Amino acid sequence: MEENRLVRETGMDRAFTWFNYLFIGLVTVSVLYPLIYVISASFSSPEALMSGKVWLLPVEFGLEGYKAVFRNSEVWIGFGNSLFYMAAGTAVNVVLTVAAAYPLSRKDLRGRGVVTLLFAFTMIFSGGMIPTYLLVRDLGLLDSRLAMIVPTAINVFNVFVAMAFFRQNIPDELLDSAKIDGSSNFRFLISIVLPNSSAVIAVVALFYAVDHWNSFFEALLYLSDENKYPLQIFLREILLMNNTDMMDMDLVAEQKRMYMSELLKYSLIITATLPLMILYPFIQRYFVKGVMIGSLKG
Amino acid sequence: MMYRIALWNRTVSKEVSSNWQLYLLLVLPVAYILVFHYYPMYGLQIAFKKYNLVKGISGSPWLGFDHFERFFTAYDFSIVLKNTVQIGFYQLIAAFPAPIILALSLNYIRMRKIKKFVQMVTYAPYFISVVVIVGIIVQLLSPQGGIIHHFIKLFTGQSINMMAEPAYFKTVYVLSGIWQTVGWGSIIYIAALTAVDPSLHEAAVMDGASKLRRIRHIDIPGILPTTVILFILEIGKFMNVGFQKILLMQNSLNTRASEVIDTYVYKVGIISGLPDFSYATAIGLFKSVIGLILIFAANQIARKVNDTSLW
Amino acid sequence: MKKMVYSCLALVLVMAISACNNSNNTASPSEPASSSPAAAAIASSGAPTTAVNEDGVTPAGTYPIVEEPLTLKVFSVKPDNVLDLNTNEFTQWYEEKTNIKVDWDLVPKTGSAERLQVTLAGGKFPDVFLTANLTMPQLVTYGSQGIFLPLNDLIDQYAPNVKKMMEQSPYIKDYMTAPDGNIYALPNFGETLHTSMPKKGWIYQPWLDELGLQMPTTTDEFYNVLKAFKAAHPDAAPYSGAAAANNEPESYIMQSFLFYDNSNYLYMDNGQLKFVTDSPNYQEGLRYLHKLAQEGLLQKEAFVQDRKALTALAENPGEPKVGAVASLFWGHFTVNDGDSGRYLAYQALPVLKGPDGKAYGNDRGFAPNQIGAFTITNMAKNPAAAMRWIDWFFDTDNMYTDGWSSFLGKEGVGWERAGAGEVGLDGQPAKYKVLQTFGVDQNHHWSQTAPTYQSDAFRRAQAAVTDDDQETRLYQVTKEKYVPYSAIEMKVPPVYMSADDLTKFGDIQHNIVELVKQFEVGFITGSLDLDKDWDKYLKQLGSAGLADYRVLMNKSLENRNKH
Repeated sequence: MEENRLVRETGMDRAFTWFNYLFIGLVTVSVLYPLIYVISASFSSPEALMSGKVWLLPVEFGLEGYKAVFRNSEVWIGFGNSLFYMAAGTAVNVVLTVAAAYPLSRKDLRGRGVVTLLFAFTMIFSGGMIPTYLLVRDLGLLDSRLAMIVPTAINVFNVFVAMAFFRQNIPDELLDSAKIDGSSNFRFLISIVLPNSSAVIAVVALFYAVDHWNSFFEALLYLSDENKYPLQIFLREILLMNNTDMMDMDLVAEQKRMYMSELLKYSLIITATLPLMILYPFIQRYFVKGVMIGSLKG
Repeated sequence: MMYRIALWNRTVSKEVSSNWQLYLLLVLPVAYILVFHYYPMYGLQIAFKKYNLVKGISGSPWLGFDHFERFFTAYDFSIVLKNTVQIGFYQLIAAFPAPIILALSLNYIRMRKIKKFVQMVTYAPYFISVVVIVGIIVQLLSPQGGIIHHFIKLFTGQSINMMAEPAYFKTVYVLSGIWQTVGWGSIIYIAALTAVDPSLHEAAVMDGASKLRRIRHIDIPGILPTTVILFILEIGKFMNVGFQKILLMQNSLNTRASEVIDTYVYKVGIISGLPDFSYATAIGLFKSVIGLILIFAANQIARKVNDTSLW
Repeated sequence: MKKMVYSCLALVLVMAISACNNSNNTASPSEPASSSPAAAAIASSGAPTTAVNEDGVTPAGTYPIVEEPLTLKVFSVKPDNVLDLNTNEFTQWYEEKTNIKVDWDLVPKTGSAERLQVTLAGGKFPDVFLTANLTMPQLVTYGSQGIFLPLNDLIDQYAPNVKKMMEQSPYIKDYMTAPDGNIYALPNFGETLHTSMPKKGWIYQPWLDELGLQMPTTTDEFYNVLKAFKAAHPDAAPYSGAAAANNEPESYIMQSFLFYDNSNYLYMDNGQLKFVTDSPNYQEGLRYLHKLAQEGLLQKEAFVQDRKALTALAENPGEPKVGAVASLFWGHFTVNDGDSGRYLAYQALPVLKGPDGKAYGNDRGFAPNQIGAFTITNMAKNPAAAMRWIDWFFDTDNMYTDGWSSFLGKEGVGWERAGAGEVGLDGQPAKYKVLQTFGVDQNHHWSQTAPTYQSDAFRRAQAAVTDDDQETRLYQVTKEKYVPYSAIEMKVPPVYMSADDLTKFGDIQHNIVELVKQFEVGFITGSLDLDKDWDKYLKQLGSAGLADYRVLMNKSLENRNKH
């Protein structure tokens, strides 16, 4: 047995493994570059950046960029709000998405084709910014935190991702045996489907969480109270604030600000992205689990 | 005949009643879709109207197909359409398989630590704002010391500024897009691969299958349904070539190859100093209709070819 | 029950008071609305000195503006560097002065355009849109839809400072007036000399010195200088620019051949509107640029690179990698105040004289930097009060009498009167000195929140801060090397399309501008032939709608002349 395996592993498989590692290595290095560049740039001086001196490592090390970002207490308000929207929003999202995706994945559901089409259609056609705004206004959601959660409660793309998963990974036999056992649909969903779908739930939750964290447009349109603003609004304000091109005011000061805005681009990315990067390893473990409980074989 | 209808009714109601819980689950999501996605669609009618802010959407006067006529007879229409289609197509062919390949490849990396590290690194560029990405691209391609430019010069002996030649624009655009999104895009496929039953792999190894064969016969079929569905959805988004990134990468030397529908509409609106909602909506509608036709077609083909399809 | 009684009492009380007020107003003889407010004030005798007229405001120039405190709903873009408009010191001072409280709807600058649109579409607007950067097409459209009120009469009656501005700088009326003759908005406006002629060239003086060359004054001399640069410094680009505002390499050079405005490619010739291809020198100008490009004197990257790359060239340690640069000012291609000193080493080139011995300096005059900086909507309950409220901001001399400036702050804190020996930008005695650096976070004045009018005289009277003061340098350079060659009479006056023509014009202008850019770049870099492809150029301009372009522009010009 052992020898068989060893023999098979040489030749094609060894070559494959080599190429694989090489490929991954190249991909990693090439993708690592922008990352390092951004980190280095965020720790450089504005002048060095504007003179194109920064290539890989920080030039004229300094913390000006970060100081500018954190100078305002507003940034912390934004952090807090974004965390809230992300947590509450994602919870709502996941529940509704699963509630939509599971039934649609069932081949025996009459009318699922129609409902799927109903959902798919909205991915292609949309009423636009103004009608949606008027709707939110008429529902009384303007300037409320709910405006950041309700109008974006479901992203149809994620519904379809989950739907595909359910179809692929919950075999019909499992459902049949559960029915024979007299289990209801709810019971089946909760005790069998969900535990086995941690991978897709993790993926979908991640997608929603990231969308919430990066959300900006909804806040811009619907919120007026600064205390409710998410992080992105403050960050973009800081960036744009330094980016005016007003010709007749103090040119020299304007130019200083434009230099600063170049630096800010980088420190803002790091600031905004760091929390997400920290989040990822926690989600990642779900991609490793999610193995089918061997309920079929019994 | 009546008997058949009665029987059909009975079966239907039996099916519906036995699955009533599933329908219950669908109530909230469907309600959400109807309220927040379908109701605002009344706004689409301004594609056929001359939008007057004061009169609102319902009160604005009808124009019929004027906006569409204006677009189709526009001076640059054929170039703009051609660029959009070419870039959309290129992206589909090149950018769609990339995350899949990466996911398959990562699946066979044994060492957990490397796997985790690579995943984290590759998914990070997705978060870098497009403004910075374009800045990096420009710097790398710059004849004044750009690394990529350097390599190109080494291999071809010529100093080519890829940002200045229309011929290279689409390639730079698509490749840099892959560079930025391959890691993030692979997440779905990695998750799908972990759901593949490991006992299948064990059995295959015991039978002496090489890794390549395992990929072909276990992994790919394992992620095929997901892939097909995602592909159908991608086709629907075919015409929505990334607007902001193209705008940033455009310059007077490469416009012939880089002007797409969205940038065209945007610039016309900016130059005339007045955002024209009706016009923009009309163009958006045009793109959506094309997307719809494509999705339908793709779905039909998927149905015929295998048993996975969107509906 | 008690509640009912109390509310009835309250109601009665309110009615009684309002009846009193009404009778106060009607006590004054009913003057026709167009008579002077001063007369109305005198006529309503018995009232305190701040008597309001039938429009609800005190006479122009007197404060407070209203008797009863009034709230003005203002939509504005959040100003940079102002911490909190509600608690701002200037806000409080101005509120007391005018008796008008502001209810701000502040929108973050990013996406303010979208917010503006949904606010307008939402049907409920504030009284005033302040510094929202409305363009004339927007003003024309919304004005004709009745959303913005025409301000002509209000200015006449209640805005003496605005009137003074229109007298002192009469060309501003052209910018303010819509095709239908109405003024829908007040501009934000500063007369800064150096930005009136933005297409400047700069040259690295040390190389001129080392090669024993004089500052070039003609295109031939410039050509020779560039050749000498190339010979002495083969690694560097003799002349370059960037794909950024005012860094385009062709604009600086074209000033030697014709009046070249790259936003519309039009110019005036003795009252006639002409397109660039009408000028006999246009092709010559392109030929010259082509020669420069062909001989490696103008680098192709100039059309593509950003300011960062250009700066990298100029700031290259050792020897710079560019000899001459097209730019508005040195800070866009060197590090201002930088240790390398390059920002000082690049000196301004004058407008070069072309082969016919003439120069056509691109002079945009003093153009406002926001045309729609203040509008009054049809939801304003007291438009007269709104107009009176904004009028104060339009006279910078107010700061000497009131001790406060909306963008500089309180006297003694943000600014102070200049001392005896201090000089202004033009060498004449200065009148005031700025104490706080611009662009620093503060809560003491309004910075750019409200539009203002800063006349040329005012700008010049600012005391120079240091010996090599930047503002002074900019002023001097422009005055000496550019103003003498100004061809402002060839500039096309500001012209606006009526609501009906807007769409068609927008499309045509977009096509024409794109086409010209394409062809010019082709001719200059050599991918198109100046002789063989010239007819193709003209033909394509024709099919892009050049004829209609001229027709629409002429129509608007004639329309303007009528008012």
